[in-house]
Order: sequence, then C-alpha cells, then structure tokens
Amino acid sequence: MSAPLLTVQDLVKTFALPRRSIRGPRPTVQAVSGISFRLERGRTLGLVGESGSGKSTTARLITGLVRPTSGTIDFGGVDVARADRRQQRALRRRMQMIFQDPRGSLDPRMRVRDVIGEGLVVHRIASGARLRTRVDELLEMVGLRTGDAEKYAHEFSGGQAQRIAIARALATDPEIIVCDEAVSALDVSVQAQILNLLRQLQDELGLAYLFISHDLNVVRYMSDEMIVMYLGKAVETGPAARIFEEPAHPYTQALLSTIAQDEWADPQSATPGVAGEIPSPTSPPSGCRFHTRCPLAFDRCRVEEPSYAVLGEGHLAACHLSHDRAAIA
Amino acid sequence: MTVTVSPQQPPAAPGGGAPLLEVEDLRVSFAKGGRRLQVLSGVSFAVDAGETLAVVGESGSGKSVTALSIMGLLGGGVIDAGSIRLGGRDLVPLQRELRAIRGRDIAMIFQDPLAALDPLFTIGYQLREALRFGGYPRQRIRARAIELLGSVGIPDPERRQSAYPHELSGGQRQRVVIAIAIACRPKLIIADEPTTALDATVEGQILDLIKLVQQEAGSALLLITHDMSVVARMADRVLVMYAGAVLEEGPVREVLGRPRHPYTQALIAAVPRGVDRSKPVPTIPGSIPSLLETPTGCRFAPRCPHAMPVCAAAEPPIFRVDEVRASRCWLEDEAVHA
Repeated sequence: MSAPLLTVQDLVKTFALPRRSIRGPRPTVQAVSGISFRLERGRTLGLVGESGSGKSTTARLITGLVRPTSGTIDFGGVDVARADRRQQRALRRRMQMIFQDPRGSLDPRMRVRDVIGEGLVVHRIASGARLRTRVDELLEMVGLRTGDAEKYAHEFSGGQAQRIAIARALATDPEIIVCDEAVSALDVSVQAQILNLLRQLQDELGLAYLFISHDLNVVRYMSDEMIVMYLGKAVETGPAARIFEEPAHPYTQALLSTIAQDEWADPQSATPGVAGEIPSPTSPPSGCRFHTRCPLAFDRCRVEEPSYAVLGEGHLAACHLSHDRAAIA
Repeated sequence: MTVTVSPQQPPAAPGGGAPLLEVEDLRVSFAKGGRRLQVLSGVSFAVDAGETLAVVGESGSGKSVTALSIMGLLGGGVIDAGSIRLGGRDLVPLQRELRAIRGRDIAMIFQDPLAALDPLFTIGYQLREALRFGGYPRQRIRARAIELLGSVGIPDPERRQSAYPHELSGGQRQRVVIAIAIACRPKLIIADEPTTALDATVEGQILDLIKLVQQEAGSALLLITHDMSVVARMADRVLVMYAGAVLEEGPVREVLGRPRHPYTQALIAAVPRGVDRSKPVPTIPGSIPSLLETPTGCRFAPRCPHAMPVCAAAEPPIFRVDEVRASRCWLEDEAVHA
C-alpha cells in the first residue's frame, strides 16, 4: 500500500456559541468529535450523514478554512492544522473544492477565462500566452468549447456552470478535490454527466476525492471508501461496497434502507427509516450518541460510548452489538 | 396493440365517474423581452378523489407551472387556453372566488417550509388563521389547532403552538405546513417537492405523514417531484413531463418498471441506482430545448436514441397504449412499424 495522500487523526472542532446569560459559561458545540481517516491517490472517500452530522465542518477543516480544536491533518508531510501562511498558500494549490451551487460560487462579473485562470494568476503559475493555452485546455477537459471562455458564468446552464467550477478547481493541478454536494442541485440527466466527468478526470489525473453527498445512490456509485457520520462522530467506516452490502451500525442500516433496491417495485418494502430527528449537537446524548433513535438500544448504550468493533477489511462500526458479533465470529 | 386516439385526450381515469380534478389542454406563457415564451403547450390530465398523481420531470419541464396554474399563483404567467376543472367547476375564469377555493378546497405544500411560514407569528396563530379562513366554528378553533399539531407529530402541541417557525427544525416546520394544509380538509393537496429540502431520514417520515393525512382526509394528492424514488414510494399514477408537455402517463409500477417513452427510459436509467461502478452512468445527450424555439416535431427527438424522420417532421399525438397507459411517441404508432 502506498503512503496515503492525506491522513487525518482524531480531528475535533468545537465552536463557541453566544453566551445565554451574563454570568453563565459560554456554551459550545462540538461539530466534529474525533474523526480519523486516510485518503489515497486516485481514490474517493464518501462522507454521508444528516444535516448537523459534521460532514461540511470536516470538509472545511481539511481544506484549512477553519482550524481544528485538536487533532492532526497530515497532507504530504505538512500539518494543515498548523501550517503557516506560506504553507497554507501552497496547500490551497494542491487542494480544491467544488460546491453545490455552481452559479453561487462563480463570480457573475468575471469572464469564464478569468474565473478559471484566477488560481493560476494568484499562484503565479502561468500568465500571458501560457495562461490562455492552459484555460483552453481546461475547458476541453471538462467538455466545454474554447469559445466559451469569453462568456460570463450566468450565460450557462447549471450543468455547464458546474463544469466551469470543475475546470477552475483543476487549474492548479490539485491532488485532492473536496466535492461538497457537488451534484445535488443538478437534474438527474445532468447529474449523470457530471458524475461521469468526475470519474473520468479521476482516472486521467489520479485525483483523490472527498465526496460529500446526501444522495446515497450517488455516494455508492462514486466512493471506494466511506464514512457514515452522526453528531460529529464516525459511526461506521470502511470499503463503500461492503458497507452498502452489509451495513453493521443500526444508523447506517436505517439510512441505507431508504434506498432499498426493491422499493421501486414494491412500495410496501419501504421502511420508515430512522424515527425522530437528529438531536441538537449542543447537548449530544450520553453513551452512544445514536441511542435516542436506535431501535436496538439497551441499557449499556445509554451510559457507555461504544469503541470501534473491527469487522475485517478495514470495516469498523462504533456499536456495542457489533463487538458482540465480532467476538462470536 | 396500440390504438390511436385524438391528441391531447388522456386515458380515461379508472373507476368511472367524473374525476376530481381535470386539466385539459392547458397552455401557459410568460412574457420575456417582448416575446412570449410558451411554458406549457397543451397539458391534459385528471386526478380522482383519494388518488395520488405524481408529476415528474427535470427543470424546465413545466411541472411547477402546472401546479401554480391550478392554484392561480402564476404571477407573470398567462393561461392562454385550456381548462382546470375542480369538481366540475372551471377555475380558469375565476378571479376573486379563487381565493376562497384555494386554501379550502385546494391546499399547497411547498418545498421550503421556512418560506411558507410567517416568521413573525407563532405556528399556533398561523394554524388558527387557516382554520378561521376555512370557516371553522370559532369556539372550537383553538382545540382543533392543538389537535392538528398533535396529529402531524409535533410533540407537546399544547406548549409548542406558541413557538415561532425559527424555533423548529426543518422537519418540524414541514409538519406544521402540512397541518395548515389539511386544516380545512381540502379536496386536493398539491405538494411541490415537499421533501427536497429535508434530510433523507426525515424525508421518509414526512412522506409517510403526507400519505397518512391524505388518506384520513380522503384528499387527492398532486405530487410534483424530480425524484423517482419519491414517485415510487407515493404515487398511484405518474405523469412524465418534458419541455412543457406530457410525454408519458400510467400506473406507477408499470411506468417505472417498463417505461415506454424513450425519455422516461433515459430518465430512469440516469439515476445511479445500483449501477455497475466500472461503467459510466447512462446519460441523455444534449440539453433541454430553449423555450424560444417553437418545436416542430417531437420535442425530445434531438436527444432521442430512437429518433426517426417522422419525429422531426411532426409532433406525435398522445397514443393510448392500453386502458391506463399513454405515450407521446411515434414508436407507438402502428403505421410506423408497418
């Protein structure tokens, strides 16, 4: 196994909230409570979870947009969390992001040529004729015409705008691209085109993706490995194909049941999924954080936080029941 | 066997009797820069009492405009032709009276519950307002509001009724919107992407709730969505729209299981659902036609893998495939195969 591109260890991020009263302590919310994973060249790590699970905060921590409270993010020997300004600048070149709303992330007053080339200028990678050639090359890579370079972002449809955002992300030859709900706002037929483009670029350029999506069908198609997050914790991690086949954690099981393959043929097989809603992250439940909604919860779950049960092939689940099953097997 | 019927006529609704909602040859246009853009070009369908009809399509298909036309909320749009009959009464010529029908006979659930609720009033007040508007007996309004909040799954409704929308989660807000929608036991509920803004786990709960209240009130449900799995879960029948026209119609299992129209086939295939990871996701080449061009022939023909010379020359009528299914495609024409 080659050395991973990105190694994240025990990542924690606590945000301070406004004081409720003058005397009281300042309440805090732990958006990410101890996440660890590795991302390798040419691989895709899927990140799934409900709103408030901490998946977007994880993405922002990794890209250095926010600093972690504790933990390390090793990106090719540099700790993103402790990088100085100069190092951060270099890191940004090697790590890019694609967001959900392509039109919101592209400056409407800039021509496509400048939108895509901005990173090259900022990082002083190319200028003049070389810049022009590179932008044309990037446009072709994402399936747009070189003639599109002189237009403005608003002249494009949502799918084409997302192609521009991808070209912009590719400009600085990044090694990692964080896709935060990158295809969620697109129509099904356009979404399929963008997914294929992302996969094709990955094959050609050896890109690693951190792929965040609420659409489990999309995550299944894109991911090699995946992390299921719940209230800031990874409740299950491992090879994506394996987790989709045999989800071990009750939360994952409930989540995946919402896309049961036979649901289209027989609506009765649609399971209710998880009861209730995600509790407030300001006061997460004791013990296992999922116990308030878990159909299988027992006394121990309420008091003791489960450690990871090792289920083989890098498959881990934070559930007391998985420990029992792992012990029997 | 295929039988040709006159264009625009949908298959007869099963069960006999007049359908609750009958939309016929609806044509809607918007003015833009001195030109008229036709967004709906002859949409016809019917919904029976108690039935769920899903309208599925991508952006620009006209599914939301269809819903807004029924509600009389088109804004800058104009109904150029066609009729919308609710219980036999045409809503199109009505102006002032529509206000009363809307909210009492027709209720709408929108995608964004935060936008649908007024941030300045408590949820209890907004619910009581809906009951007052619907002519509910005054002395029972308070109790009924609390009862409704409880029935949509708001815990401790007595206390929670004085909460403001921002104090609730997205799922809870959508529950309140549903309570307001069903307050007057509407004959028709129109839900436009009701769960698109919600988490996957909450989505299932809200869909189940909509189904439950619909059954209890005996309302018909017109569900507008882009999500095939929502269609599969909720609908009795499905209407597939593309660029302002209905391309296919039929019972949900049949349409999803054996789609007839090439567009429906392509749309279903493009969902990366259980697809082999080593292969690309099937896509639909090209993009949705611009509204500025008046289509001659089939509007899907430029992107259709089965396109024939006739498709570019003449717009196909709706062909009735059997009792319950219809497809607007020349492939259904016996003459084509002859």
